[in-house]
Amino acid sequence: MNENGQQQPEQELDAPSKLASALKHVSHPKLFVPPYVDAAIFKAARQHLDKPVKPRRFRPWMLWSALTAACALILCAVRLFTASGPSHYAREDLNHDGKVDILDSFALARELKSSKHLPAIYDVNGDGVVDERDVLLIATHAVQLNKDNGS
Amino acid sequence: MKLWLTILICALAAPLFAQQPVEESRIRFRAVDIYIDSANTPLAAYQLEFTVTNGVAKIVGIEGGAHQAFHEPPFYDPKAMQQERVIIAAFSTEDSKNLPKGKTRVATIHIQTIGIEQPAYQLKLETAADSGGNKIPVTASAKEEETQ
Repeated sequence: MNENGQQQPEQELDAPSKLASALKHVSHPKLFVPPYVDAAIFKAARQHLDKPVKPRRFRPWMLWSALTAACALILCAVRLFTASGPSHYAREDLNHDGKVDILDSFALARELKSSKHLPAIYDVNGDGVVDERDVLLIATHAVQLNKDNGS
Repeated sequence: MKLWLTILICALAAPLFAQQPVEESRIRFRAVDIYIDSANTPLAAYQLEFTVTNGVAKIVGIEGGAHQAFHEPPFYDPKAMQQERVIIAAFSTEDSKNLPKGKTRVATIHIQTIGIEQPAYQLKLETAADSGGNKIPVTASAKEEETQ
């Protein structure tokens, strides 16, 4: 049916002959669509399609949000890969200078001399007590010939 | 004839019974004194590496230094005995006034040499600190004396 309500001639189907003949024999009821309905649909469609496309407005808050998110991601990545927490060093590396040497043993000996109750992080031999044996263990480690001195 | 034959055999066998050159097989023991000079700062801790660089000597013993603060033998790896390399280290928790200043003998390393070649040494100072545990600049040196 066209805009004036006239029926369009049926077009031949570009399909196998068997399918085409089967489709011809299918009964389909003729539906009548009033011309004013067609006209209304066309008018609404034209109005919708003729609307000018509005360019996206630049919104500063979007830029700042994106920048903040990017900075947060970068900071997280940097913190993750340059972590300098206690686990980064060997347990015996008490002064955290990246190597186990006599200064670590000396540091613990001085702490022991000044305070009898030291935190468990100084218990390097894991026997539950911080004492001279921990000092000796660090010193022994420091002078080992075959050691990987990195922590 | 028999006499000449005996003389000939003795002449040929003589080198077999000759004594080896004394110098080439002689075993010597030497003591290498290790000094650290901390100038005006009291020395509270040190660590250094001693190496025989030409392979003609073995480490056979280590003893402490001259000053009371380092009189005990330093820490070292027992595996260094009969080797050519050792790391020695020591510290003292004494007050500054009881620690050595200037040049002081901190240890003596005893070595055994075989042959006439003079041993060559290398000292590598790893660290040194004052009584507060702060690293200080020092110089290390070695002086050898033959003991036997």
